[in-house]
Amino acid sequence: MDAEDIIQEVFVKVFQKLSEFRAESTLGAWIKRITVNTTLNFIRQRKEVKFMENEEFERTNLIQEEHKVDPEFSMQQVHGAIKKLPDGCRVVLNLYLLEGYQHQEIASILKISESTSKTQYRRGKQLLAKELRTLNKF
Amino acid sequence: MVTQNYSITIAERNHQIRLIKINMDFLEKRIKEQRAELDHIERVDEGLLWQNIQMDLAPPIPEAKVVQSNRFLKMYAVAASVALLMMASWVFYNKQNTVEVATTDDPEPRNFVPQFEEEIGYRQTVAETKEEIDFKNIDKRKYEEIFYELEMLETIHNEFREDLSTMADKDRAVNVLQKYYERKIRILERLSREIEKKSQYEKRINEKPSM
Repeated sequence: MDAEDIIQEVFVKVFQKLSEFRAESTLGAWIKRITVNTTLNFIRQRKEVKFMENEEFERTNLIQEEHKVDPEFSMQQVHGAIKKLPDGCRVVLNLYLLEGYQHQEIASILKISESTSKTQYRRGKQLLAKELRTLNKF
Repeated sequence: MVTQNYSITIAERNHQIRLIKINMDFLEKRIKEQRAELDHIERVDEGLLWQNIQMDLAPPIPEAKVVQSNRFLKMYAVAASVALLMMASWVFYNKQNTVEVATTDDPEPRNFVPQFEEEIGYRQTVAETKEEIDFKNIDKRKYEEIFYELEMLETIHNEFREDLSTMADKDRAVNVLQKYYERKIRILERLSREIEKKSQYEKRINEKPSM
């Protein structure tokens, strides 16, 4: 439901601001940027997105855990697992892995450091692998 | 047991890290390959979505006001209707005349275009940018999206040129033409940047020493 509300808001913004579009980027990239910003505003309005600091991340490092990924996972499972990630990791993982942004761009969008973006991504991937492993056990 | 856990050697730890990396890369690769599937997992009621968007975009309907009927109001309404009718006739008459003037003054777009002095400058910039990037010899398939945008811009522009002869507002027409050239130059500059980026990337790949 949240996603539908965001899509609706994005389309309205696109239609209303179309005259402001300058061909400095592609139309697709422009719409994508509006979507990302609208989504982030939506998340921020609901609650503060927390990005774990690097030191904190190191303390809770999952390196000792087994990270074997079952090659049989489905995208349905990936979808479910991504939804369970903490906000910070999820936002970065979505932007990097699914939307193709670079860490530098993510840092600028989310107003965090590039290294935080990388750390969040690494942690997101580890948690994702762990979640997929758990799902496949049952 | 606890001691054993902490007595992991550096070699074992490095091996563990390598295994994790392989698994993570595999996970990343699989998700990237099947990324499109994620778009179809959650179904959206498109009909309802469009309906809501249309409602958001529609101008607000003014609330109906209860008007008390009285003699003065009726007289005012009649007077307003007559005035409106007169104004409509005047506008219609003027429009007819303006279109006639426009068509007789500038029957062909080519007669109109030279009045736009900056056009020569714009054309020159476009030509120079094209020459810089060797526009004619670019492999269009590599920059499909940008070429599609250029094509769209040209189509819209050509349609506009065809309508020029009937346009009465010259300032507006010039403004549209200026915007067209500015947009075209921006797209060409973006194309130039993309070509540069690609060439740098290819250079880096070629420079990499083979293992």
